[in-house]
Formats: sequence, structure tokens, C-alpha cells
Amino acid sequence: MTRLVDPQAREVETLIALASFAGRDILELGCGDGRTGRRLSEMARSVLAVDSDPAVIAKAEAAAHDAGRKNCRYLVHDSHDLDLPPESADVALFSRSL
Amino acid sequence: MHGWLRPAGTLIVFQPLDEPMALAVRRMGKDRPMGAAFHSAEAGADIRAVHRQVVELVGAGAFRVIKETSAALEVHFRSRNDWTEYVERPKTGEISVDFDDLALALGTVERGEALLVGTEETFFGAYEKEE
Repeated sequence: MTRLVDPQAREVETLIALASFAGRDILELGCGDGRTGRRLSEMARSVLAVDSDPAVIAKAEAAAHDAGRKNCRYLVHDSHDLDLPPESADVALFSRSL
Repeated sequence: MHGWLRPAGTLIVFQPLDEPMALAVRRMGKDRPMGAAFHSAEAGADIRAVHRQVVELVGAGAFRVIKETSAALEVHFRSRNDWTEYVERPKTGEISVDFDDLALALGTVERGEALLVGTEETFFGAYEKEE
């Protein structure tokens, strides 16, 4: 059994109250288990989720596959030296890291 | 980081406040406070460092504040193993509880009679990239 983080989905509820995600390209740094990006991918155009921990990225990727989320991509990388194309995201999410 | 966002793009930062997680046993919809789980010194320093960086980005004129708010997020521990895994994370700090009481509570959790619930007040800040 695994602990349930934010079972009431208040995190996404709060995020949606702060910004528009519909049809937008989202970059999530420090994605952990990937639950946030996975939930937002229902409305976003794309989600690129990054974390330096290969184990959590593997779990996040499997969960997105199981949920049929084809617009989610995952990357194992340290967010401090990430080399992404300029102006490639509409929304950047930072959880516990900048 | 600034360069990845399109003009007028949104930066959102969310992380726990530098406060301990409140622990409670939830039975029949009622919570009985159990104590608190503190961040480790390293986790607390990370939280404060991110906050400083946000203040600097806004102060430098790179972003403007759209809104800052907070919300209480819960973690549900549904077994003794869930709790053990959480406690053994490197960034978990001191646990301030009556450990005999906690052991009894985890017994009720194991039998499916209760949940151990952690509540963490979480900061959310939304910032618009200046064009």
C-alpha cells in the first residue's frame, strides 16, 4: 500500500484558480511522482515533467502510461543545468525547487 | 529558467511552508491530534532558499506577482508501512508524538479502522513573466 498524497486534489484545484492550463505547454520541475502534471495534462496541450531521481520518473511515466496520457513526457535531469529550447513553455511549475 | 518561458508566461511555485506537518488519527470522520512531523534542517533550508529566489526574481523586475496563497494539503497513511516509508525519507526531520500512542494508532490503521493523516500548509505563488 502506498500513502495517498493530496487525495482531495486540492493542489490542482488551487493551481487552476491561479492560472490557465487549457491548451498550454507546461514544464514541471521537481515533478516527483508526477501526479500534478498528470492531472493537469487532462487540459494542457503538453506536459514535460523533470526530476533528478530516475526511480520517481520511472513511476511517473508508468502512471501516465496506465492513465493513457499521451501528452506527457518525462526527463531525468537536474533542473539547475537543464538545456531546453528558449520560450518553449507557457507555464513553468516549480515544486520545492527553483 | 527565465528563458524557457514564453513572454507573459506564468511561473508557479508551490512548496510546503516552513512549518511542521500536523499529524492526526481520523476515525469515523473525526480527527484526533497526534503531534507533528518537522522538516529536516536541509529541507527547511531548501524551502527558505526557494522563497528568497522568488523574492529576488520579482524584485529584479523579471516577474510580477499575480497571486500568492496557501492551501492545506493532506497525506493519508493507510498502513504501518506507509508511515515507515515516510519517516525513513532523508528529508524528514524530528517526529514530535507520543510514540506509544502512535503505535496504538497505527494498529487501528492496519486494521482499516482509521487513517493516519498528515496536513501540510502549502504555499502557492503565481508570477507573470515581464515582456
